Amino acid sequence: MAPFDLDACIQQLLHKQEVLMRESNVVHVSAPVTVVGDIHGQFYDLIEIFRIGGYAPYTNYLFLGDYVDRGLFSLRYPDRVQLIRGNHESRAVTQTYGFYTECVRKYGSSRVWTYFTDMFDFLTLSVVIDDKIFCVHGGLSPSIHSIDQIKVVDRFREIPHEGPMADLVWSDPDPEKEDFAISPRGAGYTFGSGVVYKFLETNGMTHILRAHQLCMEGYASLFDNHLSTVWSAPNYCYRCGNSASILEVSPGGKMYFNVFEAAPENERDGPSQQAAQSAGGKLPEYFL
Amino acid sequence: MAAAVAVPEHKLSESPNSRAIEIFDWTVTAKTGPISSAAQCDALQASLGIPHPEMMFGYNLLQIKHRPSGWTYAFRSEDALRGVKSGPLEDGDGGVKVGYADTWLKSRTGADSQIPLPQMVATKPYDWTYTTTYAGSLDDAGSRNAQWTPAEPSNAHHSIPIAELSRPDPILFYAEIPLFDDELHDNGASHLLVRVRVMPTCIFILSRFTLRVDNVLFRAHDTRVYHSFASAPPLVVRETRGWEAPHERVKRALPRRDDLMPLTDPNFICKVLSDMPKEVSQEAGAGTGWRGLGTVVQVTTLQP
Repeated sequence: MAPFDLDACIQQLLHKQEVLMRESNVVHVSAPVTVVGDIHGQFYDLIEIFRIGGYAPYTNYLFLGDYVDRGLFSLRYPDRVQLIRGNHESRAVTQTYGFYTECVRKYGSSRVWTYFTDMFDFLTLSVVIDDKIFCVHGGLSPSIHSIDQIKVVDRFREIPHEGPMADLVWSDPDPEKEDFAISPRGAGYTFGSGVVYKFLETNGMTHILRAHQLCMEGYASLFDNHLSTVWSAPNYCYRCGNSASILEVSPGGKMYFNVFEAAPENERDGPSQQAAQSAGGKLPEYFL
Repeated sequence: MAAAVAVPEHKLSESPNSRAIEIFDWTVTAKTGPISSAAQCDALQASLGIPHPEMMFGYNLLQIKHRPSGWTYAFRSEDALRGVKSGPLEDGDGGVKVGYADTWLKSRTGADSQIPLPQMVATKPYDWTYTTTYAGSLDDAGSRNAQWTPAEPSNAHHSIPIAELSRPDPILFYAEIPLFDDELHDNGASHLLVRVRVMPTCIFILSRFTLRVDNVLFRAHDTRVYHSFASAPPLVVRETRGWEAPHERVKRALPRRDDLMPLTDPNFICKVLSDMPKEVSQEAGAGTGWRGLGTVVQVTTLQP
């Protein structure tokens, strides 16, 4: 592998930023496309995804967000793929969940983090595949009935706590409900079946595709298969033991969840390696 | 170098997702597996009446069994979640909202809100922070005479001997068993982790609940269970401690102001909370009126 050139990477990042700036809040793409959910910096598992899903540019990729935080190798992901913004593509969240710390430890200052989080402000909010499948990181918003309303959101900013942009990256489906419901946290929404069917009908679409929620099986289908969650970080946080999947969408709208497990390199180079001798997962510690 | 203490005879056993040690009259079993499946989570949700935490380790278990008396004490996630308030939060439950809840609600419902809202339903209330003062489960019906009673302050055996536990004796058995984890939709984190170490002279368990609600508060609840193999009749000591402090106060203890990562570390949180004066973190707390604050030490004597 060529030596890692930080300045060249930053140049690439700035170039990427210019490309992203010209994108609409709703980007249209065509199948075939392979859709990837949360990665969270699990670098070896990302390589595993290319191994089983094919390498870009021979396979088209759509990533649904949450590229960074929690994993050990956030700092390398490929170009030539469509990227949607997730709730972790934010200054506030990355400062808490590890990406900021990782950047400072690896590069000696917060400069790299600043470039990345500036670039995050330009990531698009949603993608539509073949005019039929609506893709977003979190879910729907009570402020958005038609996708034209997404197009007018000012997205070039830190993710706010409230408003449609917050809802798109944060909201979750609730299969037991019909409508929107306010979370008991005092902020944020869940959305039910009625909301899903109405959104699809209004926009002439057939399916909602999102990420954001961990599931043991690596994917979940709700609302009579009108909404799917795709989760792409296997053995999340190196201890959940969950499967992951990527979703292969073919021309004609056929969908196939390609399920996979954690990449073998994690055994050699992940945090579990240090703790391998104790099956409890951690080195013995004289806790008090 | 010779060990400071003699290592007693013991038997270790291991199977996939489960390990155990038999030592003196005790069997300690630790089970750790992947998070619960969708079907298991649905069943749990139906049984508990509240949404399950994002990471639900339903299979995980720590169990200690005193074979002669049948006394069995366990830590498991489902039991811990039964201690989470379901329904409207009342005095003592320590209920909180996220830091920006008022602003959020105003932006959505105020007169200057530009966005007409569609029909909205109320979510069933529950403690979304998953706060629990769970101190373990007494498993065995055979434990006829084992009730927790208040420790006698004058009895040296009725406390957890930090000096003995600080001694670098060989650890014969160690496990870390996560029970649940939730990131509160990026508003903080709620964790419950159980650790156990079996030493040549004792069994020691620490079950630690930690909560961070960004810009609101930190909360922690520790349960320590200790048994000395030398105690006769066999005695188990259980100590619970609860702390709370406003978010800002804990944040002041950060080594670097702009690196917030330590605020995600339960050990850092508990260290800061327990280093504060008692009147601050064990009495005033964060002003929520949470009943889990303070310290309680109890003992139980096992009679075969």
